[in-house]
Amino acid sequence: MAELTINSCVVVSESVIAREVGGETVILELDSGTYFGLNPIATDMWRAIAAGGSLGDALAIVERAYEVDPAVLRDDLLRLTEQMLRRRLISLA
Amino acid sequence: MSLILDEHREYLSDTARMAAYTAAIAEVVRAGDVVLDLGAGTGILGLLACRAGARRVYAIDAGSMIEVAREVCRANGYDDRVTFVKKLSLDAELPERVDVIVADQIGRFGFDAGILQYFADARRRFLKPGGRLVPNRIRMWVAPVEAAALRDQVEFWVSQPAGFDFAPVRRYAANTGYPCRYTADQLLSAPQLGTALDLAVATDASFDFAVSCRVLRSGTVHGIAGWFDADLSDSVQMSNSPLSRQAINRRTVFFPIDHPIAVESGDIVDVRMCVAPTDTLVTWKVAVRGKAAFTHSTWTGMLLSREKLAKTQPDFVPRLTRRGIARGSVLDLCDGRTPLASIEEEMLHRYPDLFQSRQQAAVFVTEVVSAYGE
Repeated sequence: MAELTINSCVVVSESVIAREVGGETVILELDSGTYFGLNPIATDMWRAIAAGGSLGDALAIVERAYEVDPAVLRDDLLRLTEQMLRRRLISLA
Repeated sequence: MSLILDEHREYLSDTARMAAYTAAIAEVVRAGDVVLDLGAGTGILGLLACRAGARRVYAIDAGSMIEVAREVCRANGYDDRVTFVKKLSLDAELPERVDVIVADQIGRFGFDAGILQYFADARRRFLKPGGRLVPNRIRMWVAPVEAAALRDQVEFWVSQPAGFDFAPVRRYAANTGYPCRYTADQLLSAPQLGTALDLAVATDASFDFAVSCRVLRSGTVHGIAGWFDADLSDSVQMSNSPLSRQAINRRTVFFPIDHPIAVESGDIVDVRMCVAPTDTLVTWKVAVRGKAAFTHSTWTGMLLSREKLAKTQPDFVPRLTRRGIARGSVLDLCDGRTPLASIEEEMLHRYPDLFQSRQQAAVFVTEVVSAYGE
């Protein structure tokens, strides 16, 4: 698998349906029938990732919403992306 | 009025359905067979099996309808051959394996009344090697459909009912399958076979299918129609197809798309469906080539509260409510020695904050004991 960087582009898997409930997101992966929950911050990241574009673009969107050290936000975004890649919720474009 | 009785009256008065099951059971059940009637309802399929020569019928049903089935069975003189088991089949045990399993848990779209889950379990635990199933195969059919009136059920929510904004509901409404009836001329393409489920091997695991539908006339796609046909035996089929002249009296399903798309003859509508039978989830992805694409899912349409969601978080630390504690007490008191009356008395004594009368305690205890006691 290609190395994940902030310049990577990802796409949401065909087998994924996400919905928001009370500011949180629940993702259903249809092939396995597995549900995944995202807290409100991860929900914002998911929205930014799912919008298409690079992870850098997604980071820029999230940075506008949170007054947090950009390096921390970047690490969190990459970590979340890695976890989602591992669970096949997204794939590298 | 009992809605359950009325539902069964409709089943029994459906002459196409009854003719199909009568013929199929006469064909499949042999003299001396042991038969399992799964989700027996009035017990009609078991009665048909008796008439076909079954030596023994096990009629399983979790509902109180089973008492009616017992009376009907007795009225027809078959009570020496039918054993009733009031349980969900998943929880039931039988003293012997059966030659035939019969059921009508097919639903409107072929999978949505639980047949995959129930048959997979019953096949494994109850059916003899080489045993027979009625039905033995179910096919799921789809076609793009022109159905403005059905679509209005989605758009109702943006019509400001009573002068209020109900627009947030539209998202749920657009992600729901609607029971409905079609006329054949509403279908915009020939029916396309989504999938055929061989019930001898099918499980309740998720499955998907993809078809391409060639539009046959100009019109407007409002959604996707879904229905089934089932092989009840080698020679008997049963269907709720809008194209069948022998269709049973059972509604089909309408899966809406977000907005109507005008189509011409020759246009292609690609339909992909993913089905999760145990959760009765359907996801439908519809693309009118060159024009529009939509993704919908009953998962998005499911009513799901944040309170319920919070209780599914891995870090949620549950604790029992007062009624939960009381329920635990009832379970503890079901020790194989204490009679029901004493349990009720004890519950009234222990939980005066919950029960103001013996009657209230009795209702609570009965509910728990009915579910978990024997």
